[in-house]
Amino acid sequence: MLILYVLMPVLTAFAENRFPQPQFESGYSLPGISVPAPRVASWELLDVLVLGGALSLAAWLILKKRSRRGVFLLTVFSLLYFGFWRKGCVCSIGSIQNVAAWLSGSEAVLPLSVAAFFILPLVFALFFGRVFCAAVCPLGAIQDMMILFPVRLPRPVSLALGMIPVVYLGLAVLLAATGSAFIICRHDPFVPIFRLSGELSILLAGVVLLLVGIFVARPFCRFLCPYGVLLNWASRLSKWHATITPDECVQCRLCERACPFDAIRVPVISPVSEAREIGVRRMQWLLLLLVLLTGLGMGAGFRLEGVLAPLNAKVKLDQILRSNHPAVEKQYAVELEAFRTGGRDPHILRAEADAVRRQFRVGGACLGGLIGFVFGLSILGVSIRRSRETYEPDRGECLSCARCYRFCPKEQKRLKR
Amino acid sequence: MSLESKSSQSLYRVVCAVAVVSCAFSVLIGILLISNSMAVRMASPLDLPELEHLREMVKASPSNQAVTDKIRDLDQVVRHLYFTGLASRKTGIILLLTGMIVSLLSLKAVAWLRRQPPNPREYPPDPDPLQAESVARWAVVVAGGVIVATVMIIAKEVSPVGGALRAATAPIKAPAQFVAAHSAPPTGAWPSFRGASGSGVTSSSNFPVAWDGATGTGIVWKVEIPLSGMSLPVVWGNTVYLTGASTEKREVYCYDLATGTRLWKMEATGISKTPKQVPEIFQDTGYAAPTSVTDDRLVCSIFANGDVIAIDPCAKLLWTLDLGLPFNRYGHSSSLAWYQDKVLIQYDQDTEKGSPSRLLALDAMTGKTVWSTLRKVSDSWSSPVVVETGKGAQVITMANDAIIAYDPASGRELWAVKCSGSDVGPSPIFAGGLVVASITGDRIYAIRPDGSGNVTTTHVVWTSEDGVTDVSSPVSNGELVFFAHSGGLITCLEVKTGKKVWDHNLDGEFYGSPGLAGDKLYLVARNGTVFILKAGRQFEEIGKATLGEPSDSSPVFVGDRILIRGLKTLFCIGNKAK
Amino acid sequence: MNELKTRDAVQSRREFLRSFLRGALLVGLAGLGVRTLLGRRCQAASGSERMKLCKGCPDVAFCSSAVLSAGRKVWQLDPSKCTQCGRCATHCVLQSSAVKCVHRPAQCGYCRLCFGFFQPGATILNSAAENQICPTGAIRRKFVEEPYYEYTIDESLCIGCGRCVKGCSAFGNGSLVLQVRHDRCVNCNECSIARDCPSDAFRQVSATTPYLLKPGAESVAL
Repeated sequence: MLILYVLMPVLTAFAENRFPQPQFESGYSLPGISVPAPRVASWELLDVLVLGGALSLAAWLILKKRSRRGVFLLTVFSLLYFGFWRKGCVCSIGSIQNVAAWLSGSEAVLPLSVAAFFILPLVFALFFGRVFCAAVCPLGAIQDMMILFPVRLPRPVSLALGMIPVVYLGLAVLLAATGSAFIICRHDPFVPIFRLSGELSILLAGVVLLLVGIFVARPFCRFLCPYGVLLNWASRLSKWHATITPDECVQCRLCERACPFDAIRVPVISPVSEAREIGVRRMQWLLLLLVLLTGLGMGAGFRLEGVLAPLNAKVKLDQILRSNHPAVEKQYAVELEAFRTGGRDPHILRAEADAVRRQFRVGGACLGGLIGFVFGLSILGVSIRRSRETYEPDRGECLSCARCYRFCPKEQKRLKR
Repeated sequence: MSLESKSSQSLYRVVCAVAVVSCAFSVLIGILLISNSMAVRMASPLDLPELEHLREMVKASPSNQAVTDKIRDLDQVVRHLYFTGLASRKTGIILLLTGMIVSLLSLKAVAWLRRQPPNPREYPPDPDPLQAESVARWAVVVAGGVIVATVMIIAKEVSPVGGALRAATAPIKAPAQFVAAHSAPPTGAWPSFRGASGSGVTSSSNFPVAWDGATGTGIVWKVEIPLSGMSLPVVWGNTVYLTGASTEKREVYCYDLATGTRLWKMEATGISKTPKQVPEIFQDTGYAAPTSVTDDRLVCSIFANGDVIAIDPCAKLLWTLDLGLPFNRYGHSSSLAWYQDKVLIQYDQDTEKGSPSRLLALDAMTGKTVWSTLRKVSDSWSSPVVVETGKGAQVITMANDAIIAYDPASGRELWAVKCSGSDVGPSPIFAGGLVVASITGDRIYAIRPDGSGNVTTTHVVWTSEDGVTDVSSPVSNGELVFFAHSGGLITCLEVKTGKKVWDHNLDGEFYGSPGLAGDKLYLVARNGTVFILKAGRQFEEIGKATLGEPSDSSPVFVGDRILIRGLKTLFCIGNKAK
Repeated sequence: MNELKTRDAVQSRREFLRSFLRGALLVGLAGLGVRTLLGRRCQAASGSERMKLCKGCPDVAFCSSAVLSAGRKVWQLDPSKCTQCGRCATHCVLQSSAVKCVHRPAQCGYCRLCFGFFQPGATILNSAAENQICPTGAIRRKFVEEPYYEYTIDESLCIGCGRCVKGCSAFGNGSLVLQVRHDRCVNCNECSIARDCPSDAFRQVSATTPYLLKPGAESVAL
């Protein structure tokens, strides 16, 4: 044993075949190695086809058939197929990161199915609104099941909370594009439930979100989901969007409280009660604010490098190597050991880490600016008064779940016919 | 609306009860699940320290039946615990899901039974739109601020190594100013340890065979070297570079080859940020044992503490690099090698004490690592040699355990020969198509360099126990190869076969490697005597010269002069008239 | 009347802007789709394998056989980089990790004293609990002929801790390696073991060659 230890450096230089393969005399033949195959490619094609089919069906059910029951059944199907059967992976929300990583020019490949999961819901949103959220997304589906006693959130609160997904999206794109982390996937609260296994903290977060969802309908979709931001923007441009009433609104107010997501906008007919100049001046200030926020965002984003870059493995390792601090070295002993035995060069690592840091500065500034701009836009958005004659869903926030249909007397009449 | 009839009321009651029970059930199972997984995580039954302790006890007394029984029992319990933990988790999750589905359905029913028709008359009036607008604006602004602040704080918390430790940044490079194309060594240049070929051979033979360092006879110039060192001079054109070091100082010197005037002296300071320990070394090695490399653009030197410095001929610092303190029993002594604008460093260390041994190639002009290859060998004292094998260049390295060749362009390991030497000091040479390596404490190996992988059994052409040296490297004229043992034994072998041609005991100890100029073999003994032999199939002494002071140097041949480093003096030997 | 007209004008302007933006976005998304479809390199293994798969064509876009599987990647662990830190056992999203120890009989020396099986320093070479290195007893040792013993892995018990791999690669032939088993792996978008692997041994390999079992760590085609 001792001799072996002494000889170890010699032996490891020739790690393979220290002991020659025996020549068996008893007719023993070598067993093979079992190599179970991963899922075959055609299954992934099936996923894309199911996605396309489910989206088309959802659009038809919502816009043409106007059937809440149909939407509900499709939701259950999606929960079972994309959720529990496909274990919530691949999902459109996570695909943002793959696209970002791919566009940033890293080595990451973008499989066709992932590209389809990213593109299809957005295309459907551009035509039909957020039908993906309504009945196809498994994360939405599991939350949709939990809506029991929805409460109305005050508008300022939901507006304020609605800012979180923008930041989340920005961070996710930045971290994915720099090859640092896929934070959306890492913190996906419902995937552990679909898999019946996963990190305890994330699982708990999912359960808490579901419990909150009993009262605050679909909290993840409205106040966290980064893909929802993209769908929100796309849906605002939608060609055909779900309407509460099948024909003309009679302003009965019955649907006013029907939406669990507070996405129904009441008519605004009253003339403006302030002088025009005040409004104009406010607009000017707000435009200035928009510019200011963009600049501020860029500055803040540029500085984020210091706090975000260590999430990148290379930067982190570089920091550990450079710290020369016994506490750090103890905490990361495994990493240091692996680095040393791996024969990688600390100087190359440093150069790579510096390149990542640069990416973080540039990307951080861009995304910070964009986030600032979006903030400014939403402040502008709440200040612009549009006259509205009827009850209509907010095209951005409406999830096209078709719940409000049943509250409309015209719809009841249509159904009786 | 439907709670009026008696039956619906009782239905409502039942549904409510089901909801309460199923909710309580789910909560209970949930808590159990969490505590279970916490317990499994905390206990990590498979890594019980108790079990480890018992195993240690068994090792101490293998025949102790009580302990082995205890291990077996504990092992059984632990495995059972682990796997039942996993299984119960699975059933727990399924129970929880069932409970949740039941409670969800019952709650849905409750909600449906309690549903109220919308009554717009009860709705509170809408707030004033202007006021609502301003509140909304503020909400967005405040939310934005809070979110950005939270992100910053979370990121800072998550940030693994912490801000305080982010400060230290080591300097690496100074921009390369003196950029010119690397030109081929002029005839007479001696750019690295044992010359351009790495074998200590020069083809011209018009070198003196007699001189006296003490009296000055036959000495062109001699100059005192400020700090001592084992390193040899390297020469390019008209400049000679040399290094010297003490425990505190590390210096590079530049001399005029024609006159011996010192052109400049440069101290290698501030390479490592933190003050470095002085490495523990063997006195015979010294702090400046490795020889530098040079070309027309720079001289690059390495010292015993792992500091590397590159200076241009005009004494401008090009770059410095800290390789970290080497753990080397006798002190780092491996000289630098040169390959196509790359400086190669064989940085072998005691792997049990320090970081792993490696061979690295630095870009000569910037000091940036071009490649770095891990060497699974312990500390060594031999220098890498770049040889042109006819099928591409190879870096040949030696260590106690192996002779390994690498591709100098990529650092890829090409072939290796296992050996079992100890304290290997000599460097390999390439002669007659073979790599000849004298492994101290083992044998001399002659290897065909066209193999790949472990070629111990396939490509070793001959081995010889005759002539194995301990400090000095061999030298060969392509037909014969000569070895000088520190005890004074000179051995001549045939390159092709390894057969002994002759051996002879000389009155001297040899640390410096022999040099071969034409057909003359120059051997510098430790006491300063230089023996000049004929490099032939018979032993024949041509001449004998003295330096007048001890020397562990090898002769450096440039033009028609010989440079030899004495203990304190650098001698330039040649025809004074020139 | 006038007011209505202006409102209509505003409406139509808004509608125009909307359709313009929609069109632009659609073009963008279509571009993205086309780029993913066409602008990819052949993922088939190089050399003869590649010729077999797609007859040597340079681009998958023209190769019908590989379009579906093009770019399909699965996670795998490169044994040549692995340092057997033990995180594979603990960091997988699946309880009882998708990483298991795989035995390569062709590399095995069938040693009587197997350092992947026995505790270091074991003196009595039997499969008693105190001698085994595997914490779950997942390695089976069977006598073949003097002096050779066959070792097999019971994957249902293996937790992927890599202790046996460490022993075998330090003192033996390195025939035991850790591998992601694709019948278990759910192929997360970002592998949670890869994220915390200290030696950067995880990488995404082509789904057609999902194992790294050869000594040179080339992919193994199924």
